[in-house]
Amino acid sequence: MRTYHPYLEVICLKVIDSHCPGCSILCGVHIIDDDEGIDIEFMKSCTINSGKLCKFGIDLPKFYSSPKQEPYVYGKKVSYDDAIAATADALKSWENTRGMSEGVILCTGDATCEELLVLGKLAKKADMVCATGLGKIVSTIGGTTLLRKSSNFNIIEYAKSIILVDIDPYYQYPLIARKLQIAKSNGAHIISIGTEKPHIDHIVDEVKLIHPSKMQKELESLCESVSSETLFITSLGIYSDLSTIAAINNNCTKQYSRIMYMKDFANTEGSLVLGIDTKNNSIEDIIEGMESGKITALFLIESPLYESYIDNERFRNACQNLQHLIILQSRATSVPNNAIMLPLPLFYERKGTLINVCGRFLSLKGDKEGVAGVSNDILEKLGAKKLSFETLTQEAVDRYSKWKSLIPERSTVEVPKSAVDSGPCHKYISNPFLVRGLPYTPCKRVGKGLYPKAKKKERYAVLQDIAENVVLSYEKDTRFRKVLDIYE
Amino acid sequence: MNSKSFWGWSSTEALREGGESGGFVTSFLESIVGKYDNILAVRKTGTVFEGAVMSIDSKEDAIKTQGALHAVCMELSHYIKKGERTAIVLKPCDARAVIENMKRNHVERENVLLIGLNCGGTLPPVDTMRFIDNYFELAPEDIVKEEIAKGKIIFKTTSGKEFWKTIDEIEEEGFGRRENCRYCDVKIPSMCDIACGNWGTPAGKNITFVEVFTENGNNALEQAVREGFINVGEPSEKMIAVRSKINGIMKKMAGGWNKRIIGRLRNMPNEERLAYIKNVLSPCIACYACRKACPVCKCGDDCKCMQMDPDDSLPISIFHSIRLLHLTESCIGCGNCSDVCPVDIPLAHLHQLFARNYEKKTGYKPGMSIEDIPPLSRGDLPEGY
Repeated sequence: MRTYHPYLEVICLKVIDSHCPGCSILCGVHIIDDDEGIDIEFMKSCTINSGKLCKFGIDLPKFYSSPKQEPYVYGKKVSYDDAIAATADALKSWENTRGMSEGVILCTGDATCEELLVLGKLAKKADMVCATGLGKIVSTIGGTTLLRKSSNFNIIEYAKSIILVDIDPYYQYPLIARKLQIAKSNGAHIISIGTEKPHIDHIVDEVKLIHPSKMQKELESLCESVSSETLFITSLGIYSDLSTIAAINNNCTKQYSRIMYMKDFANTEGSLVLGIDTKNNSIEDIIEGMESGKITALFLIESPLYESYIDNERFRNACQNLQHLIILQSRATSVPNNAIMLPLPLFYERKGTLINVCGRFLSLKGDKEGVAGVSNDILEKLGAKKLSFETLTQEAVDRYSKWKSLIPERSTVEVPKSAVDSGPCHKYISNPFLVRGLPYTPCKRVGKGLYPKAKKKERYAVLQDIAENVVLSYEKDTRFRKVLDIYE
Repeated sequence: MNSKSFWGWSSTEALREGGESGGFVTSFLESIVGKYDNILAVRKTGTVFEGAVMSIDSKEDAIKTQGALHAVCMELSHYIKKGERTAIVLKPCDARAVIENMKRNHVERENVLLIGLNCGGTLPPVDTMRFIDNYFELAPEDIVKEEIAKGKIIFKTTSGKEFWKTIDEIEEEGFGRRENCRYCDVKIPSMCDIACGNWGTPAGKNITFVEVFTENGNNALEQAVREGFINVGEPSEKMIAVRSKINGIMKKMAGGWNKRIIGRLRNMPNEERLAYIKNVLSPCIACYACRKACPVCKCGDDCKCMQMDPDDSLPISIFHSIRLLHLTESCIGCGNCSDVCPVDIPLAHLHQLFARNYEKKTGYKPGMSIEDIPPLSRGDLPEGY
């Protein structure tokens, strides 16, 4: 007689159903965690991406295998408990000076809905502002109009006319390149308007190279030629130009066209659905607040701005003015001497819910609570009641259902003046590597007028189809302030 | 050894009922638990369209892998680790990949037990879900079982109903098997230790036809019988012939698809073919997913295909050219490169175009036997090649 051992379950190969945190498409991917480290397996059954991944997705093993953040208090490595105690003390000290200055909890979007809800509650309890960095755009355009509820990419596949505004799917959101190919084979007419010719020549019918300062005018001139069958696709992130977004919004409002805003962070969509932004600050507003002393406390959550913000020198200097700087981060970042650093589990290790760019409600199948877990440890130290993760999930589900039933209202808005002048300009092409401060090697590209000088200065400067007077970068350039001097 | 044939079935009634073709493979896996460092198979993780690799550590794990999963087309060969004794359940293309990796000294033949499954083709999960929605108005969670039998794809629902269409009909409508499966001509994995399937089993009998190719396979099978996990019987000559006939028909059909898909490319004038290749490769986004998914590409970051100067004006053309060259002698036609390409480049067709031409000229078919030395290594390429 054979014997069975129902409780014998030794797992040496851990397979976790996950989603790529590279952008708001949230491609399905299996994460394989075994003795030899982390690897990926293509999730061919995922209806979002059919198992396909872009370069960032393929590089996820490297992304997840990089050193993890360790707890630090004011430059010294400490135990996790000590870092939690220091955070609780900092919060008590902040409470004592309540009302004298502003505190900000900033999370750009690489967090689950549960984590975002906890941050909202923490902000309310500590009388702080909750921010995603998109606040200015949200307050100008309206949060719900920045979202989609179609649940899939059919909107692209069956569009009759598509206008790509300042977006190169090749570098930014490669998974939509396939959808555009399908649209093209279905007869769509595709126009690209932006600073460079997108690297998908085979599907674009018309390319308009425009200096960023002229984008708004170009979009306004397009208004008459678009219709309700037109789909605009553009990128929406912390580096987006509000005037461009506003101009697209106005075109769509007037002509009943549709828009798809691709977003740089994993759960930006969730942050908009849950209405996380409480004061509608932009990153620029926050940095100015820190520089002026108006903001004296900053919680930075899974937002590697300390490393990745384009002008990170300015960001770092502004952080030095803070009385309280608390950084919650999964992957190791540099350690400011005035910060408390708390480690978070990696994205795939977390459990919780997410909303992707099509408005699809998804779940992460890890087993760690992330920010919710850390927040509970802080609350316990403060003697406050812990938050139940299940309650947070239920709240996320309820708020998602409520949002699903809303019909978004769209109205024209006043288009602010573009922040870019017509001279030589340096433009960053937002992509999963750039916004996470990771190296990415495509050549720096320059427009015709600047090319002869650029060629002498930089080995990899390559002339491509770039708008006049524009220098494009795909990874953070530490010489940001100097770069235009090089070309002038 | 000369191959031997059996009919086999589980000695456990529940597995005979719940497993595929009499639960032979499930019980065979149960019988080897604890005898290998690693036992690998695919298990269902949700609907019949979702699955993940499983490392089987107990008999209960083995039971979790029962049932056919034609729409979970995962490639498991890269989970075999050198130096670990591994038993693995695989399709013919996966088995061919393992053989190629043995030739490259990434896997030791004596350390692995290859449990092959006959394969008439696998289904792309997302397209198949779309198909059942379009034609039967069924959701993935409505399906409890799928089966490919007698030229049909059959879906069984939670309510006990069966929905089916012939493979020919489905494929004419753009659904059905993955394209590389259609023209694949290796249906019985004779490079494995044992090959299991339902071809050559009497109608109405829930049993598996097992062909044993190696001493290693024979020993494992005898042990499983001895320990009471499985029962075996001798198949009739008639049913052996039936199995052979089905294999022949499947290969003939594959030949038709080969003419239709690869032959179309082969018959193009040279210039037109070159223009076609350049055109289909042009959307490449340099993600290197094809390389990551390729079960025979094991060079790592040191591979020639990755050694491109960023200054080079044609890095991607060079990448694909090197891969086309490398895989001419080793592409086993699994189709993973096409599956994972984010811009739908028909990479498998391109690689097979070159690989099959090479096979025609040299007689060398990769992944069929560890004894076959590639012509480039033998140094006896036909004159003028």
